[in-house]
Amino acid sequence: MDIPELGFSIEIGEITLTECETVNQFQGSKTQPPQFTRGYGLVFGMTERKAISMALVDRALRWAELGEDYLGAPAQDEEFVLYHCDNIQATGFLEHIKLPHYVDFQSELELIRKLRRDAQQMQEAAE
Amino acid sequence: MKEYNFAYLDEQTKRMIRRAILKGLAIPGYQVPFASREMPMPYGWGTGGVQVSAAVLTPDDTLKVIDQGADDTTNAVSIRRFFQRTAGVAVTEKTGEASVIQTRHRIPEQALREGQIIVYQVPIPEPLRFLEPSEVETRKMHALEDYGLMHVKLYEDISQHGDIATAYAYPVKVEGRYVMDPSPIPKFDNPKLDMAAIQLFGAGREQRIYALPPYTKVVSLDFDDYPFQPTKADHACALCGSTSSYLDELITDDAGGRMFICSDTDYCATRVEDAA
Ligand SMILES: [Zn+2]
Repeated sequence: MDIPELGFSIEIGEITLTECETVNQFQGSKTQPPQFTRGYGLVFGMTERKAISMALVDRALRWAELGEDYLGAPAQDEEFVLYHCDNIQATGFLEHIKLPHYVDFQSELELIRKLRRDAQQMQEAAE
Repeated sequence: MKEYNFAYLDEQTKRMIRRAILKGLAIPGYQVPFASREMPMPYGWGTGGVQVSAAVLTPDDTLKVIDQGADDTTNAVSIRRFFQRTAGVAVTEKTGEASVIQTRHRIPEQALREGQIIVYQVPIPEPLRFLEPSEVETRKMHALEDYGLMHVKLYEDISQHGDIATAYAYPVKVEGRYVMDPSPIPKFDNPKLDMAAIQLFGAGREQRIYALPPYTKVVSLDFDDYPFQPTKADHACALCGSTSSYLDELITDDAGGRMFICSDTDYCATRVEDAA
């Protein structure tokens, strides 16, 4: 930790991290010549697979800056990646399904009954 | 009461939320992003509504909380207790006596009046989300007032089912500008969105606040030849006899027996009391 008033750093603790840099092939694009590119991942603890995954996703997200085509892959979509990596965000929608929904269910029930009644009348009229 | 700042949130956070509310009121139906906090309850259980309520509550307020129209449901009871403990405000089950009403999935049957605030809990604030998964795209569509996709969806419903197949969270157009999700209220409640009270919508997980000032023009989307129709079960309430309130259907035995009762517990109980 840097202490600006004192002009030096002190150690307040140690954490284990796993860092990963991947070297990825890149065929080049309209704007860039062929070259190697890098992805970067940094995670808490000794979790190499997680760090590699993060580096690969990081590299995939850099498609625009490298002039690559967007292939519609989820890993190229920042929004998709962020929503699916946020576990707290992701649990919220599931969690709310534990609450009652009988008011909206009742309105769906009325609608389904009406649609089925209409469909049956149409069928009977056709026969 | 010394354990908590009034209404749980710190003053700085309340200020940030109030700014979002004011912006929402200034641009009715527009979804304002806000820095939603983690609350001591799960996302999806009204964290957005609770933050909005916390930001508007004053010590003199009287709070009512309902879920599915009822004051005695789990979510309503725990949120009401939360504010009793952290804000010490008075609480009530009477719609007419409340100055702030937090709700999940219903608008009370009794018309709200000027000076009241109703706060909706919102799971998915974006009305276009099921038509367009990307937030980047839907924000663009709102900015350009490009709602063609929504009209195509409603049209396809009619050509496939002979009717618009949306029963709740039925989309509305606000003051002729923004298409808005009124939260998962049954479409029966949509006509009430034109009201005298202030309406605030909070989505905690999705980090959005939007609002309707009093007397804002709110129109449910439809077509000239397929006009919007609010619907309810074609029965009278088995307890109070009301024919104009929204009803829940209860299964009473294994032989298909059922009864219909008001979803708004305060409305129903008041009618039963008045009749006695
Ligand atoms: Zn009743």
